[in-house]
Amino acid sequence: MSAARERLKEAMLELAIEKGYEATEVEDVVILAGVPRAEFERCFASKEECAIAVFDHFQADFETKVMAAYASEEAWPDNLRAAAYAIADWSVANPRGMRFGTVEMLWISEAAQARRLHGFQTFLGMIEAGREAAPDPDRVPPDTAGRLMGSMAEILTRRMQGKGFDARAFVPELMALIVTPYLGEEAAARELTIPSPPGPQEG
Amino acid sequence: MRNYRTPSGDGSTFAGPCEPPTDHATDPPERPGPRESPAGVGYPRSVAGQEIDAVVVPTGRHGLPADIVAEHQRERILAATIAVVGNRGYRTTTVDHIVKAAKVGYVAFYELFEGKEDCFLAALGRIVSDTRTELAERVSTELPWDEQISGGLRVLVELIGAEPERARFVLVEAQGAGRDAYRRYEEAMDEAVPKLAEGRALRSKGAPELSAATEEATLTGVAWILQQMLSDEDGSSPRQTLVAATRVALAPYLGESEAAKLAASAAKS
Repeated sequence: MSAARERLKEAMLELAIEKGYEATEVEDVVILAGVPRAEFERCFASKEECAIAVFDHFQADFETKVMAAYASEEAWPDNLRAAAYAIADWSVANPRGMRFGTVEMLWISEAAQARRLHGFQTFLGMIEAGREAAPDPDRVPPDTAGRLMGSMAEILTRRMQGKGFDARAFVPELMALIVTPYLGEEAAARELTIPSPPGPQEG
Repeated sequence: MRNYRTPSGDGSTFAGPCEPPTDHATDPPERPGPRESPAGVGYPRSVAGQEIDAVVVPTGRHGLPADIVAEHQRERILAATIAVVGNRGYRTTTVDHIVKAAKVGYVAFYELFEGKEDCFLAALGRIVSDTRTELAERVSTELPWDEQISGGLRVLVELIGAEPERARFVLVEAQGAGRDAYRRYEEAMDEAVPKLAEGRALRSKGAPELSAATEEATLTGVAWILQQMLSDEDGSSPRQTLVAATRVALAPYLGESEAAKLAASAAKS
């Protein structure tokens, strides 16, 4: 992985967040990266390809960490909760990556939108696992997981457009919302009382 | 002037002697095949291939006052924007596509709009305001709260069925059309928050406090359900969509089983 490629991706990330992808020219990217234009063209076929490479880089790391957290617990919703905290911790450690992946990717191209959506769909299975934990799985409407994923994705996207989103503090609410259609209101209320695990710095 | 759709909701605008446009700006781009997944931002676009029903105003020279001509041109441009964006998506739509589909000149376009985004936002604002009017006219605030909610959702489901391109414009395209469009979409959705939040008063005294994000989660969940109507492959009938959406909207406030019951009976009437 060449240093030039890394610098170009870093510059693209910085500019996309600061002034938006559309307003960013390849020229701006190469200047900020301190890399010749010819090098950009060697690394990426287009501005879009560079942006998607930024996303893919973050997504790989994000997915690895979140799935590891999910796998660390046996039962639902404990595993989902672990994954949710992993998402929050990742967001705190990678604020620009989270912002780029949820927000900027919407405004790049349809291919980028599809990539972004695919990233969210990683969580469908983790949510849908709640059906097996439900006392009466047949009573849970069929598209519950899709609806919850769509809803959570949109809430996250909204939050990431503002400032000072406390991702960790949001996890109990998020868990309560997801748990309700599968386990009911009491289980949801309990989620609001479960203390957060120690953060990565503390544990 | 009330806008460029007919109350019959068959998608046609003012029927009249003008020929439908034949220019290829509105042809769908080459796509591999029909959509096989739900609708929403990031899902593949269906091969729509719809023609624009252009707002019919005589093009060319006519003795009409300039402001009336401009108003008609504006309507044509807004209608064309909705149709072209529905076909091509926001990113690949150009002002060129729009003016050709609307049969207006560039000068006329730029007298009315600053560019593609400005025009998009105007069309978005128009659809949102028409929808708001429709809801206000058809859903009485005298009704019990749950009937206002199910009644409002019934209106939305009908509008989506009657005018899917306008629905797609708001529910799908707006989020992908840039910062300002996203914000307008968000604001439009949030208009429903106070009405939804009235449901909090209906919860039983002993029930646990609802989280602050409840209305937001409910609205975004309902939006997702409504978006699925725009997918070719979604097998749900409008009635099933209405039941699902009503259930999601009422459940946080009235409980799952009460919501399910009310949703089923609301869709019957």
